[in-house]
Amino acid sequence: MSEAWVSKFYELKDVKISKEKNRIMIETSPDKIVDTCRFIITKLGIHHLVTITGIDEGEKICIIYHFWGQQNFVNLVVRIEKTNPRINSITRVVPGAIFYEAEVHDMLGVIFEGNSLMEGHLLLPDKYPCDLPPPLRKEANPEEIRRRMGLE
Amino acid sequence: MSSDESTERTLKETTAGLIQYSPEGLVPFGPVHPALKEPEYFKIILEGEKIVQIIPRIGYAHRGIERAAQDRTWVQAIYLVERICGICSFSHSLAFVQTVESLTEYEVPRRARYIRLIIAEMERIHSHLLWLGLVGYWTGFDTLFMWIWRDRERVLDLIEMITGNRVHKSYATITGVRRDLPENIERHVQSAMKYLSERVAFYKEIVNSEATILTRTKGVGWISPDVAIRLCPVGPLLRCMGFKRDVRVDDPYAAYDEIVPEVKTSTDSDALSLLNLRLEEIEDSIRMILDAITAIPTGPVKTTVPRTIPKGDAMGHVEAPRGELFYFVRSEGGSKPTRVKIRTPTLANILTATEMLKGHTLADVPVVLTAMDPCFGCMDRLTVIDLEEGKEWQVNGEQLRRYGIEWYKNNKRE
Amino acid sequence: MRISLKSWARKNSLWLFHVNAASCNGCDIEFVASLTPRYDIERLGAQLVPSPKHADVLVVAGTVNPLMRERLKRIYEQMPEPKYVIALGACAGGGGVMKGCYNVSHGVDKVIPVDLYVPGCPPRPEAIIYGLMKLRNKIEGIEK
Repeated sequence: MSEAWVSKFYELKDVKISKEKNRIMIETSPDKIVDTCRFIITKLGIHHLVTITGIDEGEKICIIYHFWGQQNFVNLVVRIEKTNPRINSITRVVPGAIFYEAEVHDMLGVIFEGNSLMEGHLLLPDKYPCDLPPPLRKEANPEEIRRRMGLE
Repeated sequence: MSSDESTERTLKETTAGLIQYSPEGLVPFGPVHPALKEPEYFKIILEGEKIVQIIPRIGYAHRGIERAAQDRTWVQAIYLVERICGICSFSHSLAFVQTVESLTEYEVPRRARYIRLIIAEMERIHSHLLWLGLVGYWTGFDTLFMWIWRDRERVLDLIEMITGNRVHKSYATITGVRRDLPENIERHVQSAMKYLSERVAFYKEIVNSEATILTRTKGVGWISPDVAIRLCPVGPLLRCMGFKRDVRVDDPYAAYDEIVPEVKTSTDSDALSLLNLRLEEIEDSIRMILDAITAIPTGPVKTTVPRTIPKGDAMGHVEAPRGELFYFVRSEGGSKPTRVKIRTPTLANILTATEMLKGHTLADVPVVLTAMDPCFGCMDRLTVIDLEEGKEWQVNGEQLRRYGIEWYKNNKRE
Repeated sequence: MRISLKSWARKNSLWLFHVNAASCNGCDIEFVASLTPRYDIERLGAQLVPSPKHADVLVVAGTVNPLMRERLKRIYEQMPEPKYVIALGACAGGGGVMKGCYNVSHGVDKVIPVDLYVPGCPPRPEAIIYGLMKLRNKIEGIEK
């Protein structure tokens, strides 16, 4: 990891950066997500998006975008409110993100504006009851999901 | 911005079929088709003979494992995640265990790291041989399928001698492996590897000279590397386009910093180059296993860890036989994980594989879909929609296989 | 022991149709391995067929998730009588290690009637052959 590459990180504004072993965490706000992704692809030269993780933290939903390049994980961390889980999609910048965003949408109910797979389910069965919370939310109960889908 | 425009074009071309995806089966161009009554695995949209788009539906094997892992203790979760996939089960348990170890302060003993390398490479050999046999099966070359699966049994015998099971080995544990190598395993390993390297040389000759295989794989499934890199593929699919990326070399784990793999790439990104690439990877794995078994140090194979894992977030990845397998684990200091996120290599490759199939005929579907090495269930049932004739019908994998063999007997690809 | 010609013919040529109902593929690869030269169930007259309309025996492996339940029922209805069902592996037997997950059925017998359970995770090819022999005896026993 060269000095020149490290110095590029300082061009980002309004972010919090921390580094530990081979992981770099960049915390930013949800409205800056597309610009920061574009920065990572063009300025840092990292093209490989590994996946997108969604975690229910109670009041907020934490979304982490994992990139891998130059022998480091570069992770983008954003937090959105659970009451209004909307965020811009990065598929214009990284077309490969389409399935990862659709998975977070299915499992946690986050809406990625601009992603074309937001209607219908990618992984869950079609008869998943729409009044039940998505399965990875804290308030979802597997027993109740089983009962409502008719699985004994 | 011009780079956004070119991304816009890539995205439109790739996801043109996905834009109106829903289980009701709407198609973006041509006449609208009647609602399909049940969700299918793959929808293939044809215009005449050529494939225009493939729409994948991937919920067939969704079981809810990420949610179930939150109800299991750390050790119980190892047994759960290794049953995500039967073919690369050790890669799953190894990735999970390595991610959890990075949250603790414990070091993995050196002997355990060598043993993990040996089992991981044996699994790579078994998976690539399995895949090669399936390619023979799908192209109608049944004899090749039977020969290869008979040779694969030698590797499964070795795995059973060391770990006790053929498929779900339950061998990796947090900071080490569960039991040591048996005595006198060296001569079994050396004789099996000698037999396998002769057979692999024979299969390389067949693959590059048999007309059945050459007509169906040479030039089939080509994709431009510049388009593909934006779809983020992994594994042999990425390496056959010329990108030299392998997790074992970019981010060494187990004993890969001491026994270094040779990363093979190729520049023609078609199905034939994937065949040759995987055969070369088997040869490299044989070399690494023989080096490891002679250089393995003595010492303990595991250490004792407490039942709770310290608080933190961790990420880890390994090179499974199909590509990069990624795990994210969050612990809040308890005896159960709070969140486990798994990204399998097949999910990363689906988009690239559907791109590769545009412009080909229905008879090429089995070979190209198998070339990206998906799980079995993907090919079980497909719906074919023909835009010109205005009709749709359903085929299953076996019918598609026989259609492909018949088509290539009577036609030639132009 | 006398055996009718019909049941002798049936038990010696079992045609199998294999369904992967949301499994990890471990049971499937052990089942396909039992067709390969080392274990070779084809010498018992068993062979794989492409359509349930030609099959005598339905071999189901995997946790049956909601996407697969209707399909499995429909495949079972398409098979002509007499038909038998083998539940392969721990997941098909009663849920296995996936018990409690929100998207699985606890066993194939919640969807269709099962004639033979082959336990194991996954069952070895030898266990699958043993299971087939037991099925043959069952066929002979029913139609004496």
